Amino acid sequence: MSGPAAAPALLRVEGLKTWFPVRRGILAGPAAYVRAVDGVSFSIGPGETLALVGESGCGKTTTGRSILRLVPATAGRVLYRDLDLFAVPESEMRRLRRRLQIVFQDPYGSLDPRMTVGAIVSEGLDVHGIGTRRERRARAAEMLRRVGLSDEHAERRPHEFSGGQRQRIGIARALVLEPEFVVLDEPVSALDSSVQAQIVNLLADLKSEMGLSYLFIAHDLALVRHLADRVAVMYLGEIVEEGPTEAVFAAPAHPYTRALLSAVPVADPAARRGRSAGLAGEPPSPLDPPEGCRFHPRCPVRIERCASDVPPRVRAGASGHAATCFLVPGAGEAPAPDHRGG
Amino acid sequence: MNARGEPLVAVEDLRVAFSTARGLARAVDGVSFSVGPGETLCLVGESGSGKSVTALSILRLVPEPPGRILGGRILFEGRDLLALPERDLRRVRGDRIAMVFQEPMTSLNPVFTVGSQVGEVLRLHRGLPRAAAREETVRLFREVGIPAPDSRVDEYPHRLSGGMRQRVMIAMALACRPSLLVADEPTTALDVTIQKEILDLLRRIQVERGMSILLITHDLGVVAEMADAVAVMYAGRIVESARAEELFAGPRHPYTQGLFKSRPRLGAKSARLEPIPGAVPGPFEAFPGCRFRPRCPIGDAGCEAGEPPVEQKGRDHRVACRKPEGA
Repeated sequence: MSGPAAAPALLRVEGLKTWFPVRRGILAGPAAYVRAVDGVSFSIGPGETLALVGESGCGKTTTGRSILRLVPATAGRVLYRDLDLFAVPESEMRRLRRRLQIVFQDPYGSLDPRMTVGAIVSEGLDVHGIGTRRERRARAAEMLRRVGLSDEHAERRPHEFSGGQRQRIGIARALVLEPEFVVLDEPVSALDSSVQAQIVNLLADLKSEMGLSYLFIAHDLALVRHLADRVAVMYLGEIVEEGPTEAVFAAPAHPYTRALLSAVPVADPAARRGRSAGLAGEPPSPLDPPEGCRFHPRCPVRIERCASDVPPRVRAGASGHAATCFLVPGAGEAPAPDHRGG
Repeated sequence: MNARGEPLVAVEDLRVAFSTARGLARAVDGVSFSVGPGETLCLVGESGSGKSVTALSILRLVPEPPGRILGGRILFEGRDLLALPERDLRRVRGDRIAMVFQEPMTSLNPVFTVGSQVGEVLRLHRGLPRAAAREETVRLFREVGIPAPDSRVDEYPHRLSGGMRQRVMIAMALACRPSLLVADEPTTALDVTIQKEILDLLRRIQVERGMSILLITHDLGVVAEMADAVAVMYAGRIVESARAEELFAGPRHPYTQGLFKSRPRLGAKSARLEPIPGAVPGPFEAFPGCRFRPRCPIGDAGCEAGEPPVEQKGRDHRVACRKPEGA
């Protein structure tokens, strides 16, 4: 079960913190910080998909953007093949972005409406000075075909396309540079349900054809189960549970993960009576996270010490995946291998 | 459409269009359904299916122009809402039929406290004096599960979370004791944990008040949680309708079947999803016959000869298809 730990990681995130200052006036210093990401560590192996899940505001999107330096991190390291992404100069980072790409949620807002689709897809090649003009055009056309669009589409502009087609364009733009690692930030949540499956299958195909690693940021747990090899559950800027998708879904160890899973509507009208009670309340503000375990004010099984002590990261049950809680059923003594606070 | 006698609301052959620079967009094109007393009907569909326009038409809230109700009847408590003068309609709206929208932030006025907005409804529709309206607002806030309702009534909308704002909207909808609540994607903007709370709340107040709910959603999971009956819309028409258990046990229309098959399941990992090919048609596309034909796995040339007939499959199960399960 410790498979992924044995393979060298493609990307390692160690103790990542991204805090946003909140100022009370233009001349005043920061009065407080929104701790959007507050000590997050994980690694992603070559060809692996790690899903980052949690409620809105938990820090999952900020984590993805901090890794690519689209948002400046406050502390921590991101190692890409042993290269510390937070230590390289901006010029080097621009060069590295060829290998580290992102697909955004909103296929309407993320494509320049004045550019042709061909120009949108080949722009990255232009920026990185790859090949001759003719070669760049040919590569963009080839990439458009791979995402299921045709040559004639290259001459059109984004507004002529449906949401699903626009997301195909966004994927082509990210993948034309042949990256190794792609952040997928809610890539299908803006799409119609009948079209979501097309894009999900496309992402799975491209991953195996091009040997990609994905950081899949999502709130749709059914989709996560379908697409991810491993899953990390975030709550108020921290990872509370992490492990192989099958293990986490089969035996969720953290009360928050259990609550998230039980809140998903089940597509069976006969099953709706007698389901467990939901979570009380809403996530507290990341400006002032609760003492002890951050989840304790909403936790249905909390004990006294949860309000004062920070829970340990332990191995959970049979699968030995990691959970951060005092009350993990059958928790192992040894802490799970990790790099918290690194 | 329901076996429990007189429906509370019956929509008959509703047709709504929007005139645009590109021509007439037929958003709703011959839709009929009914909702029984105390029943929840879910209208399911993707973007452009006409489900929201159908909901707005019931309250005659479709902006005219550019919108226009071309035909049909909406029978509610014995009257045709489409034939009612605006003055009478205003008494139905809010009093007898209330609506909850997807985005509570845009439905609430940002410059007034949430309590004063609910209180205004109570003063206008129920003639309550100011003090009594405030008292009733606090009671309603308590009913919809808003913590510390005495102080929350004095908050402005932006101070509340999305889930709390939706509770305020529900409190406002309940203010006049409506017999029908129209809820248009009420949980789509919310996290699953909050969605569950709002759905639980809607179910509870429905039972307590004996209210009917017309719930508009694109999410089959929400349908399964809530619906007594389901109508599936595609490109302005209802393609299939049934009692919820029956629809989930055996969808008959190829579009409904496609929707079910293309969904990943929480309970089991599937090797590969089975998408519906193509995209939802735009509002200007003309169809020689069945609107789903271009994406249909079992359709043939015969499906292009006029609208498909609506076939009765079992007591409450109707399918608009020439060959339901016919492949």
